[in-house]
Amino acid sequence: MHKGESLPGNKRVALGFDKTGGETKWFDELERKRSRGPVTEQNRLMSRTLSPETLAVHAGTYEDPVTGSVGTPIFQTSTFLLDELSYQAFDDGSFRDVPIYTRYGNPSQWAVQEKIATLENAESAVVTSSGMSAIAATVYGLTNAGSHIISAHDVYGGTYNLLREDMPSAGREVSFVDPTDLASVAAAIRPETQLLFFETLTNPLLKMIDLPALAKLVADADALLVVDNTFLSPVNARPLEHGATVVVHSATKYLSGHSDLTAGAIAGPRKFLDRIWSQTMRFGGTLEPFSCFLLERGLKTLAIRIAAQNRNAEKVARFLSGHPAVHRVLHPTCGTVPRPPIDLSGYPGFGGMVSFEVAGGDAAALAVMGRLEIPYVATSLGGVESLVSMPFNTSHSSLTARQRSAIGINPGLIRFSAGIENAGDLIRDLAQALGSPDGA
Amino acid sequence: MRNSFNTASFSEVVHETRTDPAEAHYRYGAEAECSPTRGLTARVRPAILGTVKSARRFERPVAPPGVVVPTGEPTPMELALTGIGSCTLKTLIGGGSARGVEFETVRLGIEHGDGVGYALDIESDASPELVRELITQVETYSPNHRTVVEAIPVTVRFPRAALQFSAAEFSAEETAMRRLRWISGTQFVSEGARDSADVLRVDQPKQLAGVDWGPNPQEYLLMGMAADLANALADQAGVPPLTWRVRADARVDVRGLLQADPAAPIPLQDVRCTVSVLSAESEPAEAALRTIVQEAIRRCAVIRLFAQPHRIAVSQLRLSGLASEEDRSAGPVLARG
Repeated sequence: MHKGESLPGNKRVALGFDKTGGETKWFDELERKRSRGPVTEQNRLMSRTLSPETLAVHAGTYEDPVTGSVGTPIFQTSTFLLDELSYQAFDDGSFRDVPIYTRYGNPSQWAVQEKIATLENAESAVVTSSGMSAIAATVYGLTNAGSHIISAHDVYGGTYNLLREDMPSAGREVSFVDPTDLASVAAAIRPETQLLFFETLTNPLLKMIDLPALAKLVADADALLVVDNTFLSPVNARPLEHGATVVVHSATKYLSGHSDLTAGAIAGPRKFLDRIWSQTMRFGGTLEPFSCFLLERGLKTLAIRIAAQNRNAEKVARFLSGHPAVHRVLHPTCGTVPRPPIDLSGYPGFGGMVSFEVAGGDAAALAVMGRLEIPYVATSLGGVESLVSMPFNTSHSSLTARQRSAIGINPGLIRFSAGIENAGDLIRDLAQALGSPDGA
Repeated sequence: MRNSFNTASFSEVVHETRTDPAEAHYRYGAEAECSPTRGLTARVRPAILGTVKSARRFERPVAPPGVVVPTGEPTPMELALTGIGSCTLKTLIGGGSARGVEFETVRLGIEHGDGVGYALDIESDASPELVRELITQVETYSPNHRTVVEAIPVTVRFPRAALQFSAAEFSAEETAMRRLRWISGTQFVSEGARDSADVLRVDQPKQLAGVDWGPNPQEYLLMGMAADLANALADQAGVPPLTWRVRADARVDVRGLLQADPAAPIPLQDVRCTVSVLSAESEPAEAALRTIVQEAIRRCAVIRLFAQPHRIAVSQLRLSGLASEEDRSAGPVLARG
């Protein structure tokens, strides 16, 4: 193929990619509109009315016209042939829609992005090299120097550190509030408030937020609502349908589900995702093709994994609630977590996370963890294997004991991420570690 | 991207505003304070671009009209001229990019005296005929240019009242000039005639394909108006030493510039100034305040730019290739630079 010649069929460019310039006399004659994706003719586009189980398996799959392979091939390449359309994309700024260079875009990314966008019921998605890469690109991409950001006192530690340590020098002011207290959120809003960042289920206290009420507050302030949906996953909640502007994920957790890669994902309207994509591109945090393959493969079982983890966590929470060595169990179904008066009946479940406080403080909790035989003592969550850890010496170790208490992290708090093992086995193991008869 | 101008993004805005007119209304704001101790300052307020906020922090000291300060701050009229000239150039670069023109050099001298005058210097790969056509389109579709050419009503509000005034009331006359230069994409610099250190940066917000390098053309125009009025409020004999704050707001229907809807207005709309005295200080009685505000408006050359129609004379040094000696003599502002 010669320089400037188009590839046969031009099937590699995104649907909706139009020649922008040409014989136009003024802006009104420009043809390009925003479209979903980017996706190509080869990507499987599914009706959003189908169930998450079906969408998780099929949405976005790249159906290879040459081999007919069932499953997206791994496009393990850093660069792509240039043709007339590539040059056109460079010329008018539409190069998210043509494979040019893997940092900009790659069919492996497009396939898994379409799957995530479909599951979140979004126009567009971007995958990144980690959850924090997704959060950093989103926060930077959607705010200006001179803006004000509001987040939660007990937001995930990585997010908290980004907001507290990086935003001031980037010209963004940040206020931390209790997102379950709408009055305190409203009181924190200023004329320059541009973005509010909350989690659908908080770490490690599993607090829930009144998303529609927050969304109304945010819309009235002409601001954007970014929601971290890592803990619930799109199987349990789709925040975009309840007023969130953009959804972010640490795809390392439930989305990939096998504790074998780090990845992030962002989903929302293409208008905002294009800006987040260009920020991701400049930060360099795009996801490489083999990790895209692992993420796409993991996502195929998302719905059945989440269903198992929802059940296991509820059973574990119920068992722990009746145990004499446990002071407090934190799970949305237990009634011990302060939350706004929201209806939980629409949620299929709340993921695999259960937090609980052991009598005797941190030393006693460390001893309990040491006696557990099935779960790994490790940070992270959402994988097929159960994991257990303590916030005081991991995610919230940068806080003082008083600061931890102020946000509700008391001595003896253990975070248990239920995997997909047999619930009875997990409960028997917890029972022996807590020093009491089997409660299964 | 040709000229580092994201044509695809502007194309998307055209279609977005056709689908959802709410996305076409861009609301800009600026604020100025005139204080007996801190002097005159102006800043931008958060912009609302359709349904998206853009909160940038740009604040700068301003020199009162007719006062040459050693540090070279611009006057309110120079801020306004920066806004008018940069809007003209941004419209030229955007419109040219959409038509496939590649620009090398784009400069504009802008003067305010009896009226308003431009001297344009354009080096591009387009024919002189195409550049002339582009200039005509710019004169037709540039929002700030149309705001000066047409008479745009300005409402001035102050505590407990809003003031109506007629265009004939103005006594303000002020001479000022700026030299503007295109850098890249939506970025421009505006240089003063008096002081080489007096350089203003102009850019679009990142939400509109800029990089937040400086306030945008509408914000400069509004900063100029707010600063002019704040200074005129404070600079009156018999007025106690108060800190005056003026907020200037306006709306642009971007469908006019883009011609996404040919019926949409092109100039700034809903232009208003809101006057207040800082709360710690004692506000004059209502009747006295009305007199002070009326006199201040009468002296405001920038408000006059809005409220009265102006003819803008355009001279062209170069439309493509090199300027001839004859062309060079046609642009007094740029020739001086």
